[in-house]
Amino acid sequence: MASKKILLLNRSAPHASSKAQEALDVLLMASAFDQQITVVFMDDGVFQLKSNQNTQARSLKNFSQAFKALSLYEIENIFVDEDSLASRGLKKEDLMINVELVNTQKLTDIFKQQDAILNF
Amino acid sequence: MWKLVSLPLFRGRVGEGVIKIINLPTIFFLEKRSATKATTKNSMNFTVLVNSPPFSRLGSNTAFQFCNAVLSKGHHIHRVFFYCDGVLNANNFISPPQDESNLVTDWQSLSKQSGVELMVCVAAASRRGVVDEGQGKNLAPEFKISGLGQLIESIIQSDRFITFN
Repeated sequence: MASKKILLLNRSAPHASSKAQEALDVLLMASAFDQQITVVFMDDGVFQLKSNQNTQARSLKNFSQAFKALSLYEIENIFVDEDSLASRGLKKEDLMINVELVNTQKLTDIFKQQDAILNF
Repeated sequence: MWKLVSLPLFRGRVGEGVIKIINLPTIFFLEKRSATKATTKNSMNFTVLVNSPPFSRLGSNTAFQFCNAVLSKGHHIHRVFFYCDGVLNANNFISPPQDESNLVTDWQSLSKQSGVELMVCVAAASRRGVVDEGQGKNLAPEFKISGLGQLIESIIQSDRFITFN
């Protein structure tokens, strides 16, 4: 099968809707198909990577732990929109995994390179 | 789908002294083709992802209109995949008032007329009570339960992919 460039675009806050959790399932499935996967977190999606999430009080599944395992799935192209992060009072150190911060111009370049974009 | 195709070995005009072709054996080989091949030269294969529920949001309505537009332009839709709240489009118990359109039956008609595959993610569906087994079976006809792998496979095989949230 031909290798395609597939981008998963995470724009939703982690627990306000099911979007983030179901997007993660898509990401893990896509990683099994030997494609060129890229992940971008922007807007409220940057909250998905916030470290020390505790969902116990709300009886929700803390799926954020899975982000720490992304390198095992050989998903290494992980980008975060720096403007989204800054406007929410967050810094790179607040995130649970190592990511590359990108500006709007770089994001545009990343989007242009893709064959398919999954927008969640 | 596997298709037998011939391999063009040499290109060149015979008689110009460039290439002499004498009793060249035709070599056949098997080529993997996508299950639904585009019909004309400029037509393309689409995969459509629907994450939006019927009625309460406009997304799946827009997706349905988009699918009709794609088909009317001579393109092909490989698969419509229903995920997240989009799986509710496959709930056979949905019955809006007489004077309102019913997206569930609209999708079914589209599938019958154009052969578009309607696939529903099993994990998203079971979380939302859309099931195809037992007494409470409510998966509408023409919809098929499947997994996320079918979505990724369809994206890989298609020329274009679009999401409706």
